Amino acid sequence: MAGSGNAHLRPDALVSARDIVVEFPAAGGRTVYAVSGVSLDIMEGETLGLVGESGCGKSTTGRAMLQLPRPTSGSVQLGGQELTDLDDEAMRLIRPRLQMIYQDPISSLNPRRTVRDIVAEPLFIAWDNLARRSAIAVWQERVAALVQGLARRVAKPMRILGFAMSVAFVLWIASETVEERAAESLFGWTEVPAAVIGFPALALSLAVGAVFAVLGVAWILLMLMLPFGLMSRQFGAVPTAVGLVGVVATTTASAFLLWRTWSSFGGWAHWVNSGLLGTITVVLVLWLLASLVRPALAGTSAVATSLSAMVVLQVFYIGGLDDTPKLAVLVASGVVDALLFVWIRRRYHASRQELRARADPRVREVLTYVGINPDDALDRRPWEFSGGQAQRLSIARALVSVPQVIICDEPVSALDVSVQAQILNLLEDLKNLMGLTLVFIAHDLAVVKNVSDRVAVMYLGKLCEVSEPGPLYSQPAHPYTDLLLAAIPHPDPEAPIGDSSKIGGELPSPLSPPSGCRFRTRCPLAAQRCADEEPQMREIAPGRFVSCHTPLVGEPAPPTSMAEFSVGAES
Amino acid sequence: MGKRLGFFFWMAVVFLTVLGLAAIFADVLPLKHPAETFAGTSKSGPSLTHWFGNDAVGRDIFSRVIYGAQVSLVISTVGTMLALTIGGLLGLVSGYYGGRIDRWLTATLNATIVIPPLILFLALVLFLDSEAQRRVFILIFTFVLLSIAPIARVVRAATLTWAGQDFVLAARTLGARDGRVLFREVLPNVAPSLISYSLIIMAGLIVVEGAVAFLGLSVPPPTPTWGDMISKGRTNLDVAAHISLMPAITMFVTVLALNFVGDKLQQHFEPRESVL
Amino acid sequence: MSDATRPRSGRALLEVSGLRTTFDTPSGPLTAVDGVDLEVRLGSRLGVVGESGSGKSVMSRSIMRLLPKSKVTTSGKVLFDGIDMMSLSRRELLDLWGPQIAMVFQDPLGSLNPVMKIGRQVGEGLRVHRSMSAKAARTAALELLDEVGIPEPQRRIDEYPHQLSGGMRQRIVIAIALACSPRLLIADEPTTALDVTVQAQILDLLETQRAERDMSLMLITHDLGVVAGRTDEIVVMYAGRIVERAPTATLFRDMRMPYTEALMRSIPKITDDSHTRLEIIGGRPPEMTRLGPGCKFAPRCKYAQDLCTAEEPALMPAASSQTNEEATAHLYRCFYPVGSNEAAEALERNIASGRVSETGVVIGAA
Repeated sequence: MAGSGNAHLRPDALVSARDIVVEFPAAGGRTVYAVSGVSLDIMEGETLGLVGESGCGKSTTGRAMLQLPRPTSGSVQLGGQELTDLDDEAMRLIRPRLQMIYQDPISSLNPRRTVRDIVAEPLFIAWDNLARRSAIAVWQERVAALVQGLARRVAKPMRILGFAMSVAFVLWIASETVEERAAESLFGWTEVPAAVIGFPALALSLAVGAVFAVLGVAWILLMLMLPFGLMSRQFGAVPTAVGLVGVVATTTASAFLLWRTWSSFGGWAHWVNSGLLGTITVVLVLWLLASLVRPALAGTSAVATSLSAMVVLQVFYIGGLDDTPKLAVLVASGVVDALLFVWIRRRYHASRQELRARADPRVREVLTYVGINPDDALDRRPWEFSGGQAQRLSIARALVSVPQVIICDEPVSALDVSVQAQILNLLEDLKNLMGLTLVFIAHDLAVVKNVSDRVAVMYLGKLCEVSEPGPLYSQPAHPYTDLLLAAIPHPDPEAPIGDSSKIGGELPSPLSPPSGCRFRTRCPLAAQRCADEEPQMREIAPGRFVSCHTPLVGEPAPPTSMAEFSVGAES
Repeated sequence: MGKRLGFFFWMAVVFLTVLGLAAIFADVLPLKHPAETFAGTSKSGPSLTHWFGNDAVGRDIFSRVIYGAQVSLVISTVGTMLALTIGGLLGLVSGYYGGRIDRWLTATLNATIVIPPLILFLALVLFLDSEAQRRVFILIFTFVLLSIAPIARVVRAATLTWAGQDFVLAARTLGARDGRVLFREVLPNVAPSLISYSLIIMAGLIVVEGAVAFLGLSVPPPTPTWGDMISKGRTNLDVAAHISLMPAITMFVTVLALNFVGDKLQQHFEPRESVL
Repeated sequence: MSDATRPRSGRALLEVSGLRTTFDTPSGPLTAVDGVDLEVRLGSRLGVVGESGSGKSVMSRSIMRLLPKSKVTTSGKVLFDGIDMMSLSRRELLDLWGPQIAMVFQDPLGSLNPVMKIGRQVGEGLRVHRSMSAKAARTAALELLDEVGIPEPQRRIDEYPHQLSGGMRQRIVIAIALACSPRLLIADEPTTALDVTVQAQILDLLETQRAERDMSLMLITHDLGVVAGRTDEIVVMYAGRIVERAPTATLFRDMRMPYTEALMRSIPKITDDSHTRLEIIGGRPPEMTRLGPGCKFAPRCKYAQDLCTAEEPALMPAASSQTNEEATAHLYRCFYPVGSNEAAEALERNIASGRVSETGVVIGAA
């Protein structure tokens, strides 16, 4: 067993996984062969039970279907679409359709978030991903619209001011240099008449200086305001031309300041100082580039740019003060910055509240589906719930994005016995109500039988048997299935206790799985052929597939080669 | 069922707040000028007019302690904040991505741990700062460089724990980007221990600043610093112990308060232990 | 089965009466175990069944006196072979643990010292209690490892716990517990962390070792399947109380407590068809700091009447049991026991009043 082969696969399956291989690197350059060529398919509306001992690779198989992590090789198709080829970005758009429920309900919910946010998160993420995808297209549209409708934008006073301020700032910086040059020429280069260079320069700098004097305070105010001009009400924020100009202006200004600092402090000696500023400048430039490449980022990046530019300016301004309470000014401006951040966050939160409001009806709806009263639960945190309720929340989170397939990884094994049945029935109801397709991974054979339409038994990274539950449980075909069934303790004192001597041994290490059939080391029926040849999946009865040379039901596998023909004939 | 932080926690918070505010608004408060010498008060003990007494040249120790707090607090706060940002980010990245990034970052950070702080500082002072003009920057730079590794380690360990939780996997199965996972799922869980740890780092930086000042290498006079005051006072320890003692006690209490607040916060934020 | 031949009455090895353990928590006192009476007879096997929070583990630790002293108060009487465990000093307890009572916990990795070789851990008890030499202890440890079914004990004895699989680790823990041939073994969820195949092996190991050494066993679990074939008597716990106590066969055949019945019915059975609707127990286990008066199961019980929420029933003998012996052995805590006419009427009333759905689920408990 532990065989390969695809005989059991059906056409038109909703999910079809072929020859999934998952290998992890282990210490000492070895490899963990977690899953070695498992093929499974699930029809729409079907529940596939995946059962096996811990370490058999059943959870890894489930996660490989989700591409988390991606399988080492093999193919996974959802509704005919190949998932293993998709890049991360494209996969993100598929993810809402494939959801997962976890074993430990407490650890699968972030303890620091409220139920409202946890359950709505899939929607937030999906909206965000959709918005990002369309952001570039929207940006191009917006630029076109901007060119045509400049007047409309210009009419917004804040933005005009912002634009003007940016220009003024650049000019001011420029003028300072000109002023220095003028001074140099006046007192240094005597051969050049002062009037030739100095006067126009001085005049220019005075003019610009006057503008700066008037708008000096307004500049700081502007830096405070500028971000809000950029903040789009929508989560897929899109930069405006003004925003970009602001970014360019502040970045240039910072770069210029850096250069000035560098030269005025006399080169490398004050590299600490310059380096600090340099780092900030590099960050600003990176933000700028990022906002150009990814327009959707510009909304927040412009905020960051402007604020950091402002902080730098403040530090320089304060650093230049003489004989004044520097620390008080520094802290006061720090408080202003902090308030500003808070203010921006509040603005940001307002939009988050909009998101919440948008998600609210759906969140309430799914909470009701899973039997949780939204009015009680929405503002509580996961640890305030019992295990069963937390598992309901986890189910609600999986449902909110209207998935097609839910992979349930041991969803009831961490729950109290009296609560397990509630969750199992709930999953059954939801499946019928919403037409879900489920993969139910569990080690408890009775639980798997209860929920499944088809059961697949796994052993050490391979499939043993795939069948409808009825025959599989009443007449196991694979020796391993037989062993599993024998080990189950029955809640009935009259029932015979299985003979555990038959169970012998434990799972071999996935670092060095046995050759041929992986179960042979524990199999009571193991023969030489089992070590030499890996059994292939084959149909032993209608709808019953097993990968074993000598199954307990049906005919032994026909020999595959002439060499083995004689062996087969003898037996 | 909130855990009580307790009386001493709030005492410590009040002390730190008062000290911080006093340092910030030292210029505005009715304090005596820290450099002013009061005739005939040399080495005199605490009195109503000079609460902490006067030093060898008759300057008001109380006022100097407050002004000295400026240096201590600025250096420790700025140093910690920078180290927190850089170390925190490195730790997050290292713990979350693992693999090669983790190995390289951890190796590099471990390399910084072996640098003896005083020697690094002295080397930097020697090479970069003969005129003691940029001492503060060098101090902060050294402190930041040396605090990054411990902070990054704490953050990395916490990140490793939290990133292994199922809710992180859940966020990824929902299609969340790494940034979103890091900042929305992991960071809020890491932050509490980070914040409390940074208070302890801060306390450490105050002590280091004191030690550096004792060697006469901190911010140069006339700016008063605690370490400098303690150092200058030691010649008069036998006749006027308060000259060293007052700044020393203030430093001791500040460091104690920071450690205490840090420890308490750490306990407070610890995940709710199950009630058996 | 061997049950039939086993003597039902024998001298009690462990007698617990009125055991009560209270934790001092931030949200108020939490009585995790409240008035537990039970006894384990010489050579017999007692199963303790309960969900998490039912107090079964706290009970076993109270009996062993393993709970921390601060913020915990334990009262009641625990007699082990006539010795009052509650009055023993720390020193005397140390002499008791190992040669008299031993315990096996759920998490084998947590119960083993990760930096000590297996052989030393197994031999430790012998060196302390039997003053064996290191060499003799090692020989004894080898024997023990062999007895608990560790393959290649010669090699394994010098390995560390992390080099073993979960099942092997649990065998080591059992070997340590058996080292001094205790007279009572308390196994607290010994197989919960293990796979079903390993579980069967470990349970069989416990049984053979118990029979060989004529040891008594207290098997604590949440899984009715585990205790069904492997105990003589079962105690069912809910909210820190014993709600039913009966010889194993009687309990499964003739349960009286509605909780036991509901628990039994809510488990998916391997013999049922797929998609068989499970009978659920509405609601969830009560919060131990906020227990009301009355029967603690009443809010989730389909038979519950006003009386049940007002007054807590005492443990009462099952009068209708076939024999007298069974009547005294079978106790339950319910005013409307399963199978009685009163219960049938109560259920009808509840359905009529809309408190319970047609399918027998308490509405609004969740």
